[in-house]
Amino acid sequence: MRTAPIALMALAVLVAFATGASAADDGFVGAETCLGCHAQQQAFKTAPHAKSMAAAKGVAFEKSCETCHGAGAKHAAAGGDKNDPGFASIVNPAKAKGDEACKSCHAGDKARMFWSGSAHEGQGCASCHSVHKGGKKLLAKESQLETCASCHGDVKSSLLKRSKHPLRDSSRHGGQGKMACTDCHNPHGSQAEKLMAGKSVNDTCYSCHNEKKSPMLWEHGPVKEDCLTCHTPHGSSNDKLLVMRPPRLCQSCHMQGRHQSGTLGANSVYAVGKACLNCHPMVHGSNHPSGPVLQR
Amino acid sequence: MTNTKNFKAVLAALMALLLPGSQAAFALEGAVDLGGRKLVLTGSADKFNEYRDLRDGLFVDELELGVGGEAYYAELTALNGGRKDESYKLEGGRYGKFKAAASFDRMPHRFATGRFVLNGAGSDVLGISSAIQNALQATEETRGVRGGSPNNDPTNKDLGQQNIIRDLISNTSPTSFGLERRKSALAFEYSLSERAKTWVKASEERRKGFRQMGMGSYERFAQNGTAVGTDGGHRSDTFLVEGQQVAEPIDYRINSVNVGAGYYDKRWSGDLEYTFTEFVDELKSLTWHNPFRAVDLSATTTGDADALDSAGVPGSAHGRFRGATGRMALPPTSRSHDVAASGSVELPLNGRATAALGFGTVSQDTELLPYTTNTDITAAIGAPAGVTTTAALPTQRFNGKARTLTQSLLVTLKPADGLATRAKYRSYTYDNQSPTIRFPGYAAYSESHWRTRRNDSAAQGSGITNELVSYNRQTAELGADYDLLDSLTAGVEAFWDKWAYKNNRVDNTSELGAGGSLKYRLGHGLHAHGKYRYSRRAVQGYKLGATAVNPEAVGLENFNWSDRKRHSLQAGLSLEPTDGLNIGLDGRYVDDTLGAQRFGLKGQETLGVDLEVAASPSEAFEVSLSLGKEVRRSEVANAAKDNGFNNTATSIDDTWANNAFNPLNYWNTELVDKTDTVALEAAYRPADAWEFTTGYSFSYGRVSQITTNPNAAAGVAAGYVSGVKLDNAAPGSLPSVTSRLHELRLGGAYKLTKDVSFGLDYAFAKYMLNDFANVGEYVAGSNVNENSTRFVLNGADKYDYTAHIVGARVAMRF
Repeated sequence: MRTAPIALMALAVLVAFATGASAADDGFVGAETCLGCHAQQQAFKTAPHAKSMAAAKGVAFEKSCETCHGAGAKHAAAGGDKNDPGFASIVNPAKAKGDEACKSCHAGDKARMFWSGSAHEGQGCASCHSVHKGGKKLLAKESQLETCASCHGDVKSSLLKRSKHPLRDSSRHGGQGKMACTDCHNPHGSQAEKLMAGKSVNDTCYSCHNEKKSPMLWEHGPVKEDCLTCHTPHGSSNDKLLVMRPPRLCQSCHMQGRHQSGTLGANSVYAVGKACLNCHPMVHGSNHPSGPVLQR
Repeated sequence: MTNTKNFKAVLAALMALLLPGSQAAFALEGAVDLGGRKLVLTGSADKFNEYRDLRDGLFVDELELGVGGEAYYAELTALNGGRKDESYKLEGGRYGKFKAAASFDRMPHRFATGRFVLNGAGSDVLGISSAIQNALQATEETRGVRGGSPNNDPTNKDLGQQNIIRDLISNTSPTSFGLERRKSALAFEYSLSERAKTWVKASEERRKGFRQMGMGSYERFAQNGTAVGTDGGHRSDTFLVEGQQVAEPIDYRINSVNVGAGYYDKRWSGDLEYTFTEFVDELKSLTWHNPFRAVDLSATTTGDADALDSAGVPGSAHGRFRGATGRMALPPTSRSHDVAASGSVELPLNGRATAALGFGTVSQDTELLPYTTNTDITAAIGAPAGVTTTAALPTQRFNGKARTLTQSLLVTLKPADGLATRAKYRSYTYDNQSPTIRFPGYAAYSESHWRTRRNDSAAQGSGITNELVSYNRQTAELGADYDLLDSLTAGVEAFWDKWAYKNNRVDNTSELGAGGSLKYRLGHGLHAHGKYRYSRRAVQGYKLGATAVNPEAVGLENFNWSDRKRHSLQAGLSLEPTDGLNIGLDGRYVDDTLGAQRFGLKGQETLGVDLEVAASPSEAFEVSLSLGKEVRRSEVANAAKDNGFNNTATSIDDTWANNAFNPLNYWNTELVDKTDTVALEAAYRPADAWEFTTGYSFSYGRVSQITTNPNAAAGVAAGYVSGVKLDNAAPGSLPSVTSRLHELRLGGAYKLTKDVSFGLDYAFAKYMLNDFANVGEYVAGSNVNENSTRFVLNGADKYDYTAHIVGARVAMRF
């Protein structure tokens, strides 16, 4: 059985020499030669990556493998013999440090402007992308949620909590809900904190919750400062993605009046229903002249 | 198969006609996932389908069509066709040259179903029959008749009112609170060259529906506790709560356009873009009818010792929630403009510098509503003339405007093999340039009274001015990673985070921190990493309590502006001990110690651990197990307030200026938020044609809130009589809240051909929520200290559900 792959490789080398002497002179053998042994990568032929390489970058399919993996003549000539020094001459970008192979084409675009020095730079592109596969964005997993959750287990757990954004839908393959992680984060780097896609946490939130963006006649100080003061976006055991449930959340900062400063038992209207928001619903700001205490 | 061939041929021909230079053969490919399902659901459909529309019947969950040749391509993706969570996207273009896309997405957001006693949910006027208003008004119990307790009902009018409300609720049909979002978008991207591109994107989003919103008020009844200490009478305050939940209409339209151009080369790149966003609220205000009043009436300041507040200002008005109607302002229409430029350039030493500059404005120019609709708020109770018209306002419009300025710079250098360094600076300014307006007062207590102060604090004087907080946040970070060995990388970092405020109760906060990390890679897939950070946030210029800037209590510090020490630790381990077995363990711990002051959130501790084991014992079988645990513990320190209850003769008393808190009235709450999750996935493929999958997940959340009085023993020892503390400082804990979610999935699929498979699925889901706050529509008569006869909720709080879903599907690729 061991002779079969070696024979195939030898055949591949022969084919390479027969079909592309000039390429072989440069150490390049061509994609067909590669596929002679790596038949499992046949799908790459029809994957978006291969198509766009040819049309957008002028890299013909025949040269596509070695564009990323480097010249393959010595590797092919080793005929599968791992002891042959030439065998290891091939580059595997997925195992190499850094991301130079990918950056040779994806040197820059808007989404990757802040890649250098970003939190994910050290992970390498192949941690999240499988370049030989088809599929959207060449993701390594079936969905974006699965791809991100493979490292961010805490977020995966949060998505099962009582309140959450629609990131997860168990009825779908890959579990992807209506939202995606990239609706809020740019995994390729960002000028903002937490790889936020917007200019800041709040600006990211406003991209959907636009009604909260405008300055209001009566403001609630922390609101325009940081939504995360009161909300935790990946999931919460409290309603409305709150970091703590009212009335205690509100009482963490408010004890001016008598009704704010009581322990407020379970039989109190200050604690049931929407608690403090039963009477102060406009916690995100009010535009009503009678709204200074956010009741209108 | 013949039909498929014909279809492909037609599409290919169509592409050949539509796309220039497309004589080359076009390949058609695609996939479709369709079938039928039966859903058996008991309980809350709103929670089960919170953001989706899973339903009975035939479905086309996914349809993908792609056609293209060497240069051109077109793709159509359709998800959940025909459902309320459907989405479609059509994209096409020429590789490397241009790309055009059109998309439509629809998503529900269901809140809950309840009983809403007013008519017109979703519109800007909520009404009720005048017969009901008259009947309830006729049963209004006055404060004079009640005497000192809100629960006194000598004429049985409360009972009559309760019967009317209960009858009304029982005869009201269920109302589903929710909204729907529809978003349409167009995008076009054109490459001027291999490195230069331009783009334009436009979208329109509609959101329509309604959600619950509280419109309540309360009235305090001070008890006669004058015999205790120096209590001025508030030791055992009780309350009458009044109001209702209404349906806030949502009728938003959001238009957005983004245009930009950029040049992207490996050595340098830069781009410039402009974004315009218009938020339009089709409704300006919401007016609702007060079920309890047919005729406007204002509150009074007579008949009780509390008629005047502690500063002698009429404030504790009695007989609230007395306008026949009420009105609130809905979110204003606004426009925003953003210009952003970013650029990046290669540096020596394998370095790179990247910078971004962004400027934005957001503004509204809105005609203000009058102070109130209550015609009984007149000069007789101190209000200006004509408070029901905009003529009484100091200004008729609010021209709110804020500017943002973003600047960031990131420099990375890799001066030696294995050494990577980075320096990052960022500045974000939010400058609120809205006008400052001094209002003489406002219609307070559910538009029942004219009040000239925002709160009880006399420091702010008469009249109320809007507070326009602006801030600048600067962050800086320095870091380096160095490969000590091929298998070991060490990292160090330092960071700084400063907030500077204008018109706020705090001037600045400044945080400095440092940390280190290790990454270890060994054979057998062993990877370990750990990261520790320590930071200290200091506060400058916190204006502590009872001042014009900060009316809150002395000794209270907001947690987002308070001193903070933070320890943060992350660690993880992944291991592949044998082929086909992966083990991952991750943990995180954050410990915050907050606040030099005595009240507010004092500390928070979060511990999370996740374990994942994935095994593939054979090519036919794979299984994975995930376990997660998170515990977050928070400590809130508080005290029940009573201006007159403070025995200054006792050493245990606080000596802080303006202190209004007796130590015996201190109370602390410990909140513990625990979440446990379990997920099990398995797949078995006994032969090429067969696949069986299963998955189970369980999440259990529990929030406990324990309240204690920390000074009880010391207070008694210092001379206080046990049990004389304020009733609202009694250490009554709030009940725990739990939620459980089980989800089970079983599936089997058989490949009829290489590209066609048939499958059967079964899914079970069960959600259980136990939350004391979900009390139903009407809680009158069930409270000890509060009379809630005049408080009506919607009862839209039922979230439990059990669902069984059986489905058959065909998945086909072509």
